[in-house]
Formats: sequence, C-alpha cells, structure tokens
Amino acid sequence: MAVLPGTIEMPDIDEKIDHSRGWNVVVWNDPVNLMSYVVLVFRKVFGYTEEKATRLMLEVHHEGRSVVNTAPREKAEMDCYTLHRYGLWATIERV
Amino acid sequence: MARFGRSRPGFIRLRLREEEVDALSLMEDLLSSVGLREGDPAEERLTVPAYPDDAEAQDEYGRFMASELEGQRRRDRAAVFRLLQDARAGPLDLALDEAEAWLMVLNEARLALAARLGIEEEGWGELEEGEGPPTPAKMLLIYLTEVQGGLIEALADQI
Repeated sequence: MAVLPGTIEMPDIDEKIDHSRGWNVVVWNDPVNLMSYVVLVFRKVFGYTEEKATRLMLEVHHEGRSVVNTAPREKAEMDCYTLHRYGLWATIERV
Repeated sequence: MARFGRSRPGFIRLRLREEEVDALSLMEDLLSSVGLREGDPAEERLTVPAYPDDAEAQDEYGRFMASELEGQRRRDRAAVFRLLQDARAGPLDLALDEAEAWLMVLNEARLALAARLGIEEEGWGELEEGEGPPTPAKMLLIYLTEVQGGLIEALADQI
C-alpha cells in the first residue's frame, strides 16, 4: 500500500479519556432466550463462526455474562441497539 | 409438516394451518398491550438499558435509540401480522428480511409473556407432575417457543 508524502496534522487529543481502550458490549444470561437463538444472533450480528458464537453463548449461559465485542463507543452502541432489537439482554461498559 | 422450510435460495417457505394463524394472531393483542398499564414487567424486559449504571449516558443513548427501536419493532410487527393473514390462503415464501421480522416478533412476544408470568429461571418449559395444566399464557409461550425453534433452524441454514 502506498503512502503519500507530506505532513499529517494531529488532532487534539483529550488526555483525560483513553479512547484506545474502547467499550465492551456485554450480553447477560436470561432464562427465556433459546441457546440456538443466541448463537444465531451472534452469527448474524457479528459475523462470527458457529464455533465462536457457540463458545460465547455458553459463556453467557455458564458465567452469566460474556463480552461479545469490543469497539469504539458509537459502534458498541449500534451493536447494543441491534442486540436489543433481537431481545437479548445487552449492556455497554468501558473496557 | 414443518411450518418453516426450504424454498428457493434467499427465501423461507412458511406453511401454517388455519388454527395456527389464529393462535399466532394472539401475539398482536399481546404486543399492543405492552406498556399500557404502569409497571408492566413486559415493558421493562423489552426496554433494557444500555448503561444500567450511568444515568447520564443512558439518557443520551435512550434519546436517540428508544424511539428508533420502538419504530423498528412497530414496522416488524406490521409486516409479520400482514404476512400472517396472507398465510391463511396457503404457503408463502418469506424473503430473509421478512423471516428476520418473524424471528424478532416471535421473540418479543415470548419475552413479554415470560416477563408477565414472572419466569426467572430456566426449566419453565418442563411441566411438573401434579402441577395441573399450564395457564393459557404459559401454553402460548411454549407454543411460540416451538414455532421459533423451527424458524431458527431454517435461518441457521441460510447464513
């Protein structure tokens, strides 16, 4: 990949917030959503393989919660919205 | 005969008996009643906060997302209940986005019923001996769960 020569203007960086850490999208266990449903939702929303989706679903089931994605805040909020559309119990927390 | 089955690529065949159309139509009244009375557990379950421990962040998130979610759910329901009535005339081919709407509306109805039944633990689908017959709401929940199971299988094949 080619890079054009020249200077790069650096944006002002807010020192107080470490944006690089991102936000976790967390899914919590609930007794009503089917295991097969949760796997399907993870595959569709995040494009995960069946194996990864199943592993995360089992983590939710056994541990009570699982971090299903880590992303910048805006993306984490969109993920959370989509999971809420599917009826999953999803929340967002700082990494 | 499976309710949701294979069709041409990108579609799912929906085949319902008349009495199933009637049973599934119960979802319409159920879902339109969510939030009508104060403290409805169904409403609480369907409006999970993204930031449960941060009121300010939740306010901001909710301002953008709550009405968006409600509008999307309303569109999904309208599509599903229209298709449900179409299904009286015979088998239908659902496009994948229509099948997705079915998946979400079935789940919304299941979550609403379970919340009102006060279900907090797994194993609710198993009927205890000597417990007597399940309530109509519980029977509907079990039925919708079976219907949804078939749709999940059909959609999982299409990913």
